[in-house]
Amino acid sequence: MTYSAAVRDYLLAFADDEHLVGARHTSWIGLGPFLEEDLAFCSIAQDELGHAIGLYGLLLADVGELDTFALLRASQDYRSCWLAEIECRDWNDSLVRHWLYDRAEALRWEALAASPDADIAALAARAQREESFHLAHADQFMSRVAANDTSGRIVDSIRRLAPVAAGIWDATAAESDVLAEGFVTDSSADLAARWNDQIRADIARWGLAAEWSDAGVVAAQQHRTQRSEGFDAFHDDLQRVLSLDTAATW
Amino acid sequence: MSSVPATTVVDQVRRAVASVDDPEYPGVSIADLGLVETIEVEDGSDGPVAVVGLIPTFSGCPALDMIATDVQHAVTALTDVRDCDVRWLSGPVWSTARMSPAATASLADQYTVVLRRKDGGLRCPVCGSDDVAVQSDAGPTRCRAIAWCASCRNPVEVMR
Repeated sequence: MTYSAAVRDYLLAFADDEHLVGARHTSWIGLGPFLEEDLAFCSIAQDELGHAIGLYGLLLADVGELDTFALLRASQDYRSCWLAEIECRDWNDSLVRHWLYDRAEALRWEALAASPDADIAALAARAQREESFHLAHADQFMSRVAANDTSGRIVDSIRRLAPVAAGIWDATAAESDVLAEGFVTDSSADLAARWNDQIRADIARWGLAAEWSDAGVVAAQQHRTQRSEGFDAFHDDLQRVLSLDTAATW
Repeated sequence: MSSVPATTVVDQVRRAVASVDDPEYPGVSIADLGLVETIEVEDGSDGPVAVVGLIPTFSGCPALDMIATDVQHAVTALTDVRDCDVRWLSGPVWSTARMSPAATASLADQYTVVLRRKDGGLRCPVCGSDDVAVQSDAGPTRCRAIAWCASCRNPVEVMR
């Protein structure tokens, strides 16, 4: 591929988000709140990892490098947002992250589906079909728990995670070049405004009242060059098996 | 260089690819499931090289590597082909509309897996009742949802 450095960084940010949120979702395998949800959440995780493989594939000439590239980079070379990196130990946090993330992910793919680049547009078309399942899942689950959120745990999760999720819209440093090239026409700021409207409409439709204030995540991420607290432990876990024998063929 | 006409080699490759079954559904060809998009034969330095373009049902399907390896083995077993390059294409998007009637029938008969009808309804492959409701959008694989027949009380899986 002959993408510019600006486009590569832009795609890498999305790829790393998909990879890490997918990996975090997999921590619920075998532990989902009930069997059908276990299957559903694992399915969503598999799709996100599949999207990451597709995006990394556009960045890598040789797919054989995939594991090395995805897992063994230095932490400062990742471009993930903090929402994708953080550990959600409670189911309510994981569920709320899934909803906030997939609302944003669908908008990002929608923007890329309109790209003049045929490869990314094709990948986006497939991902959009899958995202429709993810959004349906988030709505089905959230609408049901919202109706029974007597302990306020869901509202509490939204209050804590929505400001972190705003970091999804922290653009990579050269996003203006990506827009100038015409690779994608919607800026992160444009998408962020639509995302905000959508999540607030969801909350109102579910009969919840949740307000939050800016936690400064966008500024702290510094165009996605800074990793969140706890990233190193997560990164160690991800590369643990591969590091046992980096020359092995899997 | 092979003396066999290229069109004949393409046909051989097409048949070899069609002989590969989906790992989830032994007896059902990946060609009938609509996974095969392009088949070309190029002149390699040591002889003809088959280039097979496949599309996945879902991005996260864990069977993709296995399918690619099976295709590679089936095609390279042909005496007129030197090598085989299997590529997962980014498009077009797979849908159940790509499945052949043969695959649809095999899935219903052998695996109690059905497709949604054009009117959105589902027919139980066991008893023929239309009283079938989806229980969970996520099933045992990425491409299947779980439904239940209220008439014969059998679980039914639905390609999605």
